[in-house]
Amino acid sequence: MADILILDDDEQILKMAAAMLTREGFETLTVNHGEEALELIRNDPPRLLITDILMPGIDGIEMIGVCAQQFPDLKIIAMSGGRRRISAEFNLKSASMLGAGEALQKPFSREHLVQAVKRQLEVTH
Amino acid sequence: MQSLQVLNAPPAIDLASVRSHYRRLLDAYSREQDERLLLSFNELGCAMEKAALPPEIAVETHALAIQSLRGAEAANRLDENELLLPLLEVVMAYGVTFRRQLAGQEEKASAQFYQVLKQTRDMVFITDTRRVISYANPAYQQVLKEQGGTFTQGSECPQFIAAPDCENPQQLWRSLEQGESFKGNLASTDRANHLCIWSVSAFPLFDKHDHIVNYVFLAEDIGKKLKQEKRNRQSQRLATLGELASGVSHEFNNILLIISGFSELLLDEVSTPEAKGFAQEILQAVEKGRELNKQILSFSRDEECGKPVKLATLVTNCRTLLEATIGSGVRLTFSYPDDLIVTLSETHLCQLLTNLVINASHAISDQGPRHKGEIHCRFYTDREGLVIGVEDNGTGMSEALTKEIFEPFFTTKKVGEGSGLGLSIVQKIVHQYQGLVEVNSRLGIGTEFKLRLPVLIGKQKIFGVSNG
Repeated sequence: MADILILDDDEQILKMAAAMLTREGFETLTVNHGEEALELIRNDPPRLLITDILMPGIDGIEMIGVCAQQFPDLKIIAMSGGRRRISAEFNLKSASMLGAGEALQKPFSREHLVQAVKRQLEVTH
Repeated sequence: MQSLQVLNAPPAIDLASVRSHYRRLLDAYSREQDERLLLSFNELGCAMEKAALPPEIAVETHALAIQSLRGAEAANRLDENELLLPLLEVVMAYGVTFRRQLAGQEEKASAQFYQVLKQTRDMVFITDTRRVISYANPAYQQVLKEQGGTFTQGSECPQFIAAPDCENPQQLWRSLEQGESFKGNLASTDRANHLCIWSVSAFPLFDKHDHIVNYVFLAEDIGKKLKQEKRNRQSQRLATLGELASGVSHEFNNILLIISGFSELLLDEVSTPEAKGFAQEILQAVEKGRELNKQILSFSRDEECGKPVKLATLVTNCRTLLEATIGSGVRLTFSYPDDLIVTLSETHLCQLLTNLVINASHAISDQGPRHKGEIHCRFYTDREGLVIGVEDNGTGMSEALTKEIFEPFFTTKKVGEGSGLGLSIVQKIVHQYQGLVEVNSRLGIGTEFKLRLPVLIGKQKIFGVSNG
């Protein structure tokens, strides 16, 4: 399995994040649906999951909760832009409480994403 | 005369006893022709009326009695007119009671009307045709008293003036003088020159020759109601906008991320400095978009209104931020009472002042680089609470412009310099405190914004310092 599984319902964000991380030498896999992501993790868990929070189907908060229980070794990074009455801060705080090691508020810079991934995978360059 | 006494006693009332009593009375009357007996007929009439016997019975009874007495010699001593007198007495008894009843009803009705005039909260007053007041009900007298005047007979009718959303006062007088009624909103000013808006219904009163003698006014002060309605409408609109904005903002953040992310990746791929510069421009635009989105979100998020705090502390805390925001080119001064306790959150006060002060500093820089800019923030109290005034000597605004500035996304600034949300945010916060925003501006001279906030708790007690 790849190092990093990226989950977001927006294909463009998947493509962008994958490109950024591939250039840093990581192996990435992208998926746009929570059910599919869980399936992939069950079959062959990656080292790190980067997930959006607000998505149709299984949303990020649920995803993080399930992963934190069933795959305690899996590192998690949450990302969110907030919506309606729920702020990005609130989403990300909930994510951290459930077990996400990092929380990125959209829009974030390439630098922020790369640093967060490196911290989680304990890569020192 | 013995029979007189017997006959005077009112009989038990039913149809049979009325008939026999009447016949006996008529018999006695025709024989003795004593006029005092007519009183007995009157009493009988009163008793009949009291027993609710219809007056036709009297006529019928009279006719029957005449018939039965016809044969007797006595009856023939009276002529036709004299014979009618007993019946008239009976019928008159009915008439008197009826008239008394009418008078009683009238009295009761006018007492009721008087109570209505006295107790209604609506103002009622009556003028003559020269517009001099001849009657003012207590509600109107009370309003006059609150405005610092008193009602005396002969006071002038209030001076109605032309005002926006109100009828022209000439229309009122024209209608009344033509004998027509008038209904509409009218404006007048009180002694302190505040605008009062009344919903007025007025009509003329005529005498029996159809000449107009009085004008009657029924009025209700709807100024407060109108203000509240306006505020509700604006809050409603801002709330809808906030809802919409926060819904879009998530999508907007995603889009910004895609633009900035791919621009950063593009920077890897392009080698010419010009191409790199272009990508940097895109990244700068994303940064602006991010700021705007943050503002939209702060606009849609409700924060709780504050706990009691000392105004002076709030102002000192916001002051540093404001001074840093506008830089040193403009003189920024503050005046505020030291001892006021208010329920205003610091975040709100900072947001209010920042938005107003930034606008002021823009208005000042539009006056040209040589202009000595001054912004004065003053805090004071009036009857309704705290007033925050932010005054500048910038370019000022035309009257037309002052009407547009509270529209969300309205801006006079260049693209990218202002979101057009600043004053909407100010208004939203002020409405959250049930307050009002006022603006006074003169082109070329300056602008003053006044925020009226009912957030005053009181004055802090200041204890005397002992000299010992």
